[in-house]
Amino acid sequence: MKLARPLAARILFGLLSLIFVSFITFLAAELAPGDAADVLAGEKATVETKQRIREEMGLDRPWLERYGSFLVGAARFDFGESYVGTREPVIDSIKRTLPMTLRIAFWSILLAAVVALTLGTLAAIYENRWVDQLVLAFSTLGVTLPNFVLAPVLVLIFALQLDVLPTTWEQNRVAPDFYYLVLPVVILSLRPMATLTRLARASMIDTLHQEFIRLAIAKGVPPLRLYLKHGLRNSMLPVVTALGTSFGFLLTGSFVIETAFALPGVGRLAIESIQRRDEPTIQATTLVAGALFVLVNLLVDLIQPLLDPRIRESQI
Amino acid sequence: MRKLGWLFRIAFGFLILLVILAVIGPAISHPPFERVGGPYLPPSGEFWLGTDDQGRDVFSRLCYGARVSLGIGFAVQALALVIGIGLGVTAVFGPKWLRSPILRLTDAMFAFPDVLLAILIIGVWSATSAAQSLVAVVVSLAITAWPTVVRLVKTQVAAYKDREFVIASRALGASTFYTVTRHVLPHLWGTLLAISIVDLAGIILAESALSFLGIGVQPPVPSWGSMINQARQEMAGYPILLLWPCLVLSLAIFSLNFVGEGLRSLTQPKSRTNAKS
Repeated sequence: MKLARPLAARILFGLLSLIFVSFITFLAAELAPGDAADVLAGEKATVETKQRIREEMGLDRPWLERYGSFLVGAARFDFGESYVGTREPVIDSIKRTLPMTLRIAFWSILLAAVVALTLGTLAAIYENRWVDQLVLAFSTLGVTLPNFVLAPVLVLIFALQLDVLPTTWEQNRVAPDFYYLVLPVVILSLRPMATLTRLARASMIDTLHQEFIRLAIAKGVPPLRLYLKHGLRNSMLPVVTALGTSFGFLLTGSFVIETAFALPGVGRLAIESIQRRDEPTIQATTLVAGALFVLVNLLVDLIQPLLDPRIRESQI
Repeated sequence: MRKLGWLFRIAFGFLILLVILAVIGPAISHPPFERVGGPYLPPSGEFWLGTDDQGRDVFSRLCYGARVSLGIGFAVQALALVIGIGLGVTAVFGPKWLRSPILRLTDAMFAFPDVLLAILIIGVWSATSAAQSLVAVVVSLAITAWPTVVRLVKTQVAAYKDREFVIASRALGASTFYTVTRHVLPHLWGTLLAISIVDLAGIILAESALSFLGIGVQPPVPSWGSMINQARQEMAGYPILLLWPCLVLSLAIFSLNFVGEGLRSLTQPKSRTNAKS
């Protein structure tokens, strides 16, 4: 099959970049002052205690060897046990938190794509008029305002002042999940929404200036059909391509949003484990986030040929 | 300057003001780390922006935060420029066996979301003091910031490689180092300055995000990000404490973007934004 080889190449490249990133972090951990033994033993521990802990945990082995065994473990989804608390296997805490992250990421990217295509198309149709100006102003704001500014400000307005939405996720929820997830999802989607809107606008303007559009107008194609079938279909591709990179923003954003709204997701788990110096969990959570990023970009590469027959012919 | 309009001047003015306040701000008001009055005092003649939960002067802390944010920004961008220019020039003029690996390495860095990488590095750093955490933030952000510079330098330098004056310089017997530093790099300074200002916005944003998450600059050193996080906990009672850091940070990011893009439109008139998204 034609697709098989380039696909294998992409997967391989994705895996390589994950290995590369894990290598960098291992190196950084090695060069950084202090190690897990300092953390586990506490501040007042003697040199002997620390040495014993190092031996127990295998930290006295050369770091390349430790890196090797980490990779072998990671390939089997075995990231070892957490350093703190109940020493839960790291993979279990990831299984527990991943659904929440995927949930808000999915709805955010969907919201971002739908709004961006709508606003971008509208702006392109009314190029240089007030609708266009308004959309551009909105997207500038979306790019400039960081989500950790938006999150507290919007909570202040909608939860504390207007009292229509809850402030954070709670264990015992009194309302449907929807109410708890509205603010996080909207805030998370704003940044990708803003960049995608600009892209959709530029792409649509490009498309609308092409000859087949003029032909369609001359043939008397009704406006709605013209913009949706002739315009949007042809201008969508760059937006879909950018979905992959936007997802990177979204992942980083979800670290902030999950922390701000106390959502039990991978991002919050990662931040908490950093504060607790729980190295196996840190490594695993960020690698999982990275793997998600790589996976989504792979998916985007696979969707492209479905949207554009020209790509189908040449490569995947 | 005239071509860039009044908004550019306002943004530029704000940045100048920010730098001045970062330098002299903590000196002209109260010390930023100490309790100087009652907690949660409203803005007054004595405390221009009021005091926080521990009775510390908010204005002074904001200025100190500017010092921290700008300082980290400059340090990171300087490191990124050194690494980026070095690798970028090597990728064009360097030994053949080195060129392709450098570019592949850069691609690999682009393939990973950068703040995520910074979080990962900070996470394994195990910093134990405020000073160490500063170093961790600078190093982790520098590691994620250099690839953009490499890409830019590489394309720009490659464009000059076969120009007559470069060939002439080498034909006259000048060393590659001399040719690059005297004849090639001077053409890049304008663009690099513009890019650096835009990058600075990204770095400050990343630093604030890290500090907001509680893994960046550690207390008692104030940072805009950690001030926002602090104010967030008490915003039900004292929303005004949330206002100041949010306002200053947003204005700073907006101004840096605006000034950087303005300068870029002067230095490379036709280029489109090469957004690293």
